[in-house]
Amino acid sequence: MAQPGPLLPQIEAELRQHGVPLRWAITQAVCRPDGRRQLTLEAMVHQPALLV
Amino acid sequence: MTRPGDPLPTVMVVPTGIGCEVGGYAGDAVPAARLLAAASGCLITHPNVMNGASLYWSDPRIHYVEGSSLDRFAAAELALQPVRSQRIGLLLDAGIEEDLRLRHLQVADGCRASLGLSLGPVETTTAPIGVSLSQGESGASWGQLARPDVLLEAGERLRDAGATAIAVIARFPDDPDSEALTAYRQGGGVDALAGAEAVISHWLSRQLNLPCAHAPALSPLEIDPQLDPRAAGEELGYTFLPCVLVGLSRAPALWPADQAPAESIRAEQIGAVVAPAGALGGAAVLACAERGIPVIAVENPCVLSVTAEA
Repeated sequence: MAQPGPLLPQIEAELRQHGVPLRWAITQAVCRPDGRRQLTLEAMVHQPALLV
Repeated sequence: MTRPGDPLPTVMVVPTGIGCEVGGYAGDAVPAARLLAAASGCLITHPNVMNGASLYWSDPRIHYVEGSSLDRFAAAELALQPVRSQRIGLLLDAGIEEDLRLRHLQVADGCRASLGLSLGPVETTTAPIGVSLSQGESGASWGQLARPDVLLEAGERLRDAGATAIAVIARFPDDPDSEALTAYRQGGGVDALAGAEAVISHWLSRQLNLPCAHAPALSPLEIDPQLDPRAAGEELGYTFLPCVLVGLSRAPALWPADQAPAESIRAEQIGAVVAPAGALGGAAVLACAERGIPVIAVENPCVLSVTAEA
């Protein structure tokens, strides 16, 4: 759910919870009845811990 | 102060792997890029726009900047220093068969001999990169790398050997009978390879701060009489490499914005960003929009519907 203000820092903070973002895009944006924006992201992240 | 007739640095984005009607195939956005370069005098765009496999267009007004570096430029983290030429290192995936590897090395030889490009060291990864392809719920193409570590290590060796730009050639999975490939060759659907290509170049460019671009290594396809002209550039030869080498040969050097030489192009100079009207949810467009740079949304249907209204 997008908060008021610039989107980029919010998206980057969200993605960093999953790894180092390599590539991402907003693939859907929906304005909910309460006026808030719900964004769907697709992303590819690097997770060093998963390397074998 | 900008005067009439001065170049107006303009960013053109056509995200890869989302099936754009223009720019979703093999360098089929080049005519639009040429037009924008002529109009603006300075166009900053990315390999998906300019790469047509065996086809390419070299124009000193067009600055070829890998996608994640373009994102960082738009966010004012990087500045772009135009250079006369780059010394391009070749990074080959250990998963490429010997014949296919030789084809790519011969393309490099040809570009050196016929175009006079400066091609530097060649490195091979110590193990196959292991590219796999996937598709998101949106329909956009994505991809995974089993061994990003060996890709990065080979890139570091190239940099240490004097390469100032890197052309990556990774073995991609052949799937000649897939419906997606047939649709793509006939002018429909999404480029299934594109998402993984972007992941490769984003990973390397972000880690090394060097211009990077990627060409997939694939076995040749049977001839398709229904081939769409927009995909034809990829069927003229055995590799997708010539456009990458030409693009990188004059790609601007990447500098942290606060350390860049005076002649560099900076985000503060961007006059406009041009992007498909349904694909406004990428990092470069958002960075520009959030800094008050005009966004020109162009009708260019794709699988996404992330518009200015959304």
